[in-house]
Amino acid sequence: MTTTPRNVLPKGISASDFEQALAQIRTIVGAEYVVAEDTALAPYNKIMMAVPDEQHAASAAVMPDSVEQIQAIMKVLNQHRIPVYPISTGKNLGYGSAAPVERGQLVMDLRRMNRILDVDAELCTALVEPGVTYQQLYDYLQEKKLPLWFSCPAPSVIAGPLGNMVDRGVGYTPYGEHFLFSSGMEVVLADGEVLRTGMGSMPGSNTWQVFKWGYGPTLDGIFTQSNYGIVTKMGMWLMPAPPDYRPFLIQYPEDADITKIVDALRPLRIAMVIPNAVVIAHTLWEAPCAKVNRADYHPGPGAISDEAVQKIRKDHNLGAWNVYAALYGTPETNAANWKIIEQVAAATGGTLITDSTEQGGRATQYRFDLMKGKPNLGEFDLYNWRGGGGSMWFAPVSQAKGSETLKQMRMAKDILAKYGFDYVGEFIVGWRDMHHVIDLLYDRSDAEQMKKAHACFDELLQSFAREGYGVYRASTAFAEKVAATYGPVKRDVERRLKRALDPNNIIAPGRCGIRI
Amino acid sequence: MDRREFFRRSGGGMLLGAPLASLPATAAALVSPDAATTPVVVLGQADRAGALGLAHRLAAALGNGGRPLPVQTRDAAALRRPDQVEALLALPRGTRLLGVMDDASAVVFLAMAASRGAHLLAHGHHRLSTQGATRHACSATACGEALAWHEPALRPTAHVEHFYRATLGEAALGARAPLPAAAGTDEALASFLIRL
Repeated sequence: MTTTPRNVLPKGISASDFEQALAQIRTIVGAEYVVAEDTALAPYNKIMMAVPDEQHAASAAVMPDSVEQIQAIMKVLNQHRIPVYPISTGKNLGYGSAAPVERGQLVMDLRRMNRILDVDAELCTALVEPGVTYQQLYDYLQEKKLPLWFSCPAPSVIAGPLGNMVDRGVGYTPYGEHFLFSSGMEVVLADGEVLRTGMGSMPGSNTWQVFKWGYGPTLDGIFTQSNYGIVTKMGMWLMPAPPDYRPFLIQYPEDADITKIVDALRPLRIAMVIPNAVVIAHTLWEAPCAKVNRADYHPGPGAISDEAVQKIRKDHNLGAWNVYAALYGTPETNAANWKIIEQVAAATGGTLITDSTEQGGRATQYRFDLMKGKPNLGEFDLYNWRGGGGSMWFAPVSQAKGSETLKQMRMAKDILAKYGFDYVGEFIVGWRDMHHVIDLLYDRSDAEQMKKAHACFDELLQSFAREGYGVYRASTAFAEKVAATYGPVKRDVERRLKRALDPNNIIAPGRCGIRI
Repeated sequence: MDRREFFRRSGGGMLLGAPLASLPATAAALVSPDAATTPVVVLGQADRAGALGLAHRLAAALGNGGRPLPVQTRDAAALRRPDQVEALLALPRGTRLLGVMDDASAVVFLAMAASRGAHLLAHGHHRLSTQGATRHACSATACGEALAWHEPALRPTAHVEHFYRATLGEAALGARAPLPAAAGTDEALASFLIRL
């Protein structure tokens, strides 16, 4: 193969120093697991972020297979001061994918570390490596006939639990707050030392995956959405498959209904009558997943009109808001709680469409699967809505109160329309909080739309921040700007931690806005 | 003839700010010496008329001795099933796979291919239109920025055929009868060429 070496170097590193470091790393992992030519590095290019590829181009990628190899690599990287960007499966597409946060960083791809190290069927726990995908874990549980479920995000077939937890992702079962339901991490620090958090630090303990806290400060949190270490193992809690699972969809006809929906369902969520996060998806989140073709309703440029959205609702039997949640329990407990759901739906003017997947459409099926932790790729149809497949997730957090919803929706819709983009959003009542997830869909093959998408996201971020709405997660392209919205003191503490744990600033400098 | 030249000679297409000067002098820079002997597999999305049409045109353009390459087809449901995508990717190392499908399926397919260590040689986006010109934006990995252009409805994919032939290191197309226009659809599609 004629290869084209990539002409990208880590910041401040000479070509000869970099090549020397790569040569050392090749002796650690084997030459075939170090790639530096363009076509092999293309999978590490940014995908969805509306910025030029060059801004997030990797200099090379390395694929270690063990903690010991990572430790040895860190020694080399410290010696040469080469920044490294660790990824697990690298599939958080709407939040940055596998591309490094800054141009020139060396990607450390942990996909070869894909072992399911332990599943305890009695305690309902698992211990996994970074390269394990949700699909792999699902297949493992099926093969072993273990009646255990896990919570997974929408792109679950290709994504993995460790990376999702480290990025503080969420899912759709009662265990949907993934960091909350993790228990124990193993972390390779910048100097190569290996830390096991919680009970994992205690020699001889068998409670690493069952008691999260250990003794003294709980350190797990500082290794999420950060760059203080490379997480190489994670304990997670699995959910016993309930004897009875009853998913449901309630449709509401008007945009303004969102206020009463949230206020009616929040008490049920807080009291855990509804044990999982309540997803309230707007028409245009449902439409692509129901195979609606946007061009049939809005062939021209600019944002789709309200009239067209209403026609889509009518033609395809979609609600203005489509509420997804489920009951998990015994037939008896679910029967009792089902009456509450029926009453709430009736009292709020909602139509309880189905408790069986056969009555729902395509979008219903993938939602019902996700709420029982069955990985699927149903939500990917969103990428077909606009054509050109560009997507950036904007996800501000608010209180789970109806009064927050319409205000946020109007703000988002106005800003999106100004740049010619559609409002494709959903509210997720987590517990007492609510995530407003907006998918900014654009044509990434169109340079003009790329610029508009970037400017639009920026305006969304700044406008929502002025109202006190911070985002819970963001793509690497906006890491610095998002971090800035959280104020200087927090950032200063983060910088001090970085200096203490990674004095050479080699682990993903810039990730979540943290650097020395 | 370098690609800058064949894009010029092909005529009819309007290049949109394409950084042609940045292209390498020969497409051979992208291709393995044994390219001629390694197979090319063409995959088209069965439930997208435009994807199927473009896949067949590319298969014809890349065929040998006037015989088009066979086109494998899968519908969107199959392209979202990990076991089926894995089966499609289970080809001998070095095989080149040219896919044409909707954006969502392409994202999934490329993500799964990347997890198996596939190299991305080129990719494109195509906006087919029944009303006006078809818009294409294609990028060969080694060439940096994308080329974007419009093509008339009569021969909406002529330059795309050239593009992928060039990326595969094959000679530019000789004169041949143009394939009939595909059934009219307004569609956005993605294409890609990977080496397994």
